[in-house]
Amino acid sequence: MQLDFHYYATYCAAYLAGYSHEDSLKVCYSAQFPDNCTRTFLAGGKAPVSAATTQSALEMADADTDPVGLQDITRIWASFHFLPYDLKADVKKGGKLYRNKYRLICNPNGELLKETIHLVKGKGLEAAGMAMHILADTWAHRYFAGTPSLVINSTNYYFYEILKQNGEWTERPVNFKHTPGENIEKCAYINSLDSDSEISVMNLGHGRAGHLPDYSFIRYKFMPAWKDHGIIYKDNPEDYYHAFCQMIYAMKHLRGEIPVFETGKYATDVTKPYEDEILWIINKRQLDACLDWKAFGEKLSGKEIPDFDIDLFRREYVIASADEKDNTGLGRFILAALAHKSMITNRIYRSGSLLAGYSTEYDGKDVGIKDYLKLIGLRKKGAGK
Amino acid sequence: MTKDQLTTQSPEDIRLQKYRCSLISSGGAMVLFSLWTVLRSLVQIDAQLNYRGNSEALMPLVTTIVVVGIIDLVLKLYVGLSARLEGLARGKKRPYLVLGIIIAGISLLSLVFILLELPTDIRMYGVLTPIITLVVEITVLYAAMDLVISATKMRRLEEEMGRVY
Repeated sequence: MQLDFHYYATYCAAYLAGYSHEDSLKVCYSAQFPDNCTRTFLAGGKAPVSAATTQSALEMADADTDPVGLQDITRIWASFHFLPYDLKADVKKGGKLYRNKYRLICNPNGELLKETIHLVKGKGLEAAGMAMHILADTWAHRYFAGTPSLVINSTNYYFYEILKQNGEWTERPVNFKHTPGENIEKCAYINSLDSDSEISVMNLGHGRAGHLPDYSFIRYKFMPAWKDHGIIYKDNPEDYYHAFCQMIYAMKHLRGEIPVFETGKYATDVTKPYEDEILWIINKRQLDACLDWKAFGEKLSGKEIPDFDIDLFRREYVIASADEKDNTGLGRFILAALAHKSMITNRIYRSGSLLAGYSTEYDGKDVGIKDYLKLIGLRKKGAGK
Repeated sequence: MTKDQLTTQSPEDIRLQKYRCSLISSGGAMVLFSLWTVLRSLVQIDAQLNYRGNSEALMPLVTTIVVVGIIDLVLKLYVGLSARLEGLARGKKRPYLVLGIIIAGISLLSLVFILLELPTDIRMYGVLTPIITLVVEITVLYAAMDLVISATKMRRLEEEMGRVY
């Protein structure tokens, strides 16, 4: 997913869930932020870099693919963009390493989604926004894993767009390329370079499928490496609508309107009056739906939605005193990100996999890898008081 | 076509895709082996030039190596590219299967010949080249057999499914 859904559509979902205009803006800003919070960005604001929720193209180019480097990549991408569906999945083929990678495949409505929502409840709007990013991405990025892996994430020649032309359903091959400029009419999209290396970052997440999972209008079928020559049909319009309805449901829970968050439940009753409009935006064949979502959001609240400003968080954080930093928007986002990353790392570690690194428990309360000193420091500070 | 027809896959479809993938891989391997043929021919010519010097037998021998090399190159390229195209379900179906069987046959004979000549070749070219040739020839045989078997199974399955094109 991209800015149109993480920012503008999340604003609409937050507003429909009952948040005020101002609170919805905070939620949607934090929902977009996991796609911008790189180490470089954090370092620029003298914030803890272990809270990074994504990696820029430059950082990826510079990333090590030794075991420690791969663990770092996996912690970031599996935690925030490819939430694993089933860490106990039974795999009939391959060895332990294959099984561990297979278990990282993302899908909606997994146990970890429940834990994610549970973890952010009562932690503020920034944490809620971050969770909405993760939730939405489970729909968009399903069938791919947040770890570099040829045997899981690679695709092959079999990649077709399914579309309706002159009232008839038809298929046409997707032309992947590596040069700028995508063309919907010619079905030409950019994807990552073909690499035979199991651990190449080219085989991270949906890189080999290009940005197709990020476009709400597209329907396609493809043959992922893990499916043993079986095909996957991905209906993005349906998945994006589910994501939108589930975000509303989750935020209603975070607001206290629904006591228990359950997977597989969607606030379709809330979206019903707007269903046609929402589906129209989702199905419109365009690479960027920002304007349509923005117009819909402004119609809902009657207020203007400002453009996403990446430095909004950082400006406040930089000028805050050392004691106040944790109470800024970025400070709260960082704490939520660290807690979430720690939790996911711990769950992956407990499943018998070292793909995300070692996980330690501190005082039986904080979990995570050892460099999350920020969380441990906060725990100590809390105990001292 | 309905959306369901376009997006659902029967067990036969999965098997068909497996054969297609196999055909694409072995076809690709055959294309690569055709390039190996060029390399091997050059090594053989170089060795003959060094070993036989100005002998009268040199010219006919080099001519034979060049002719056989060209035939081998064209044959493997044609079979490899045709197999890949059929695997990708693109272009017209070409009569490459018989040629694939011929490659497998020649490869088997070559293998026997290489094994018989191995001691002499080691004396003539050193250890490395004959061993590499042996390993590559085994791989060519495997790829050719895989290509023939995959193409045959795929065509049979397509016939059963009524999808002959």
